[in-house]
Amino acid sequence: MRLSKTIRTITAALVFSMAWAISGCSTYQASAPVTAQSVIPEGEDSADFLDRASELEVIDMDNALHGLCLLVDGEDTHADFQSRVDKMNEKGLVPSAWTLSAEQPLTKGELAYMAYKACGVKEKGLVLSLFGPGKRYCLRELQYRGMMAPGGGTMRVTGMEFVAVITRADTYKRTGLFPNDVGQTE
Amino acid sequence: MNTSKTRYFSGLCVLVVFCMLSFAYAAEEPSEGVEELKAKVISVRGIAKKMQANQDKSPWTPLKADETLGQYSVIRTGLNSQVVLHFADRGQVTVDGGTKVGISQFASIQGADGTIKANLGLKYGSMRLKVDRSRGASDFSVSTAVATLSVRGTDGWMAFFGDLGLSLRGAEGTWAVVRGMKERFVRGTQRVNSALDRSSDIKAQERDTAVGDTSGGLTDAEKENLAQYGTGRGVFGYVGNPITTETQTTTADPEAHHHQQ
Repeated sequence: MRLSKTIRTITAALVFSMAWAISGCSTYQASAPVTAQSVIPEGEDSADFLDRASELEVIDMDNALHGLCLLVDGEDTHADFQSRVDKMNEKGLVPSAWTLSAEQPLTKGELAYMAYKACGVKEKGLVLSLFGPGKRYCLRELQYRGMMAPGGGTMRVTGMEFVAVITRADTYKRTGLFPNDVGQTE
Repeated sequence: MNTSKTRYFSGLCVLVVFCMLSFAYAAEEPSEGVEELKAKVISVRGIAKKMQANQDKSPWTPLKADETLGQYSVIRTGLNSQVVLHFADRGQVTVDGGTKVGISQFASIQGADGTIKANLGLKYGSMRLKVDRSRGASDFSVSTAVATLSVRGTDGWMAFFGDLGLSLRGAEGTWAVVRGMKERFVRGTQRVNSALDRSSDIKAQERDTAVGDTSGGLTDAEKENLAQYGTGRGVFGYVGNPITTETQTTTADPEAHHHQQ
C-alpha cells in the first residue's frame, strides 16, 4: 500500500515535470502578426522614417520594405505593401519564394538577407561563396563584420535595431567599407 | 534613559538629513548669471529636420545652413546625410546620417571665466565632437540612454544604437564616460563600450585580433600597448614601439652614451 503511494507520487511528479519541459520547449512563433503597428505616412522621408521606426517595439514586413526602399532608392513611391514586395522581388532583394504579409514581424535572418543583398556585399565567407546568400549565412556574415548584433535568425527585429542596421548598410553602400563601431569608415 | 537616547538620535538624524537637503538645494540654484547661446548650422547635406522640444506640437521643419539652434532644439537626419553645428567658438559637432540628437543646454556662465556649458542628448546615431579648449573654458557633455560622456577639450567619435549600444572612439585628449557609479577615462585612440570595458579588452574580443591574452601573462599596460600600436611581444620589449623608444631615450644616461661613442 505504502509502495504504491510512493510510485503514484513519483509518476505524478514525472508527468508534471515532462509537461513543464515540453511546454518550455515550444517553438518560438516569430511569424505571429504584430499588433497595433503604425501606418506608413504618405511621402515619408528617411529622417522621418528612422525616427518613427525607432519608437516601434517590433518592425513588421511592411515597414521593413518601406525602409529598404528608402535605403536602395532614397524614396518610397509605392502606395501599398504588394507593390513594395513586387519591386523588391524585381530587384532581387527579397526572394519570390518567401511568403510575406504586411503584419508579419521581421526576423533577424530576413533583415540580414535584405541588407546583404541591398548593400551588394563583396566580401563573403566560404559557405556564402559556394551556396550563395541565405538568411542564416548572411546573418552570420553581417554579425562577423559588426553590422548586426549577435542573436538567432528567428528573433524579431526591434525598431532601434532596424534603424541601426539600415544606417550601417547605408554607410557600406556609399563607401564600400564596413562601418566601425562608431559608424565611421575612416 | 533609553527613550531619551532614542529621541536624541532621532533628532540628530532629522537635523543631518535637513542639512544635507539644504546643501543639495543650494547647489542646484544657479549662483551665477547664465546667458543662453545658440548653435549655428554650418552645413547641411541630405535630409535634416529640426523641432523645438519645449513647445507644444512643434512641427518638424527642414534644417538649413546658417540657421541657429537654441536650447531644447532637436534635429534628426536621414540616410546619406550630414549636419555640421558650431557651438560658439569652442566646439564643433558633425552629426552623421541616421541620427537624432537634441541640445538640452547651451549657455555661457557669467563670472566663471566665460565658461561655455553644453549638454547634448543622443537618442540614436553617431556624431563627431571636437572641442577647442584653447579658446576658453568649456564644459561639453553628451548623454545617451546608458551613459554620460564628458568632453574635456578633445576630439572623438561617438555612437549609440539600439543593438550594439554605446561606442566611443577617442581621437585626441581625454573623455570621461560615466555610467552609474562607474567611470572610465578614454584617451586618444582608445575606445569604450556600453559596459565601459577597457579599450584593450574590447580589442581582444575582436575575432581577427591575435593580441592580448593569447600570448599569456600580459599586464594591463602591455595589453593597452598592444592594442594601441599592434606590435609583437619581443624578448626585450616591443621592437619599434614608439613608447618603448621614447622610454629608452629618456631613461638612458646621456653621459654613458657619449662615452660609448
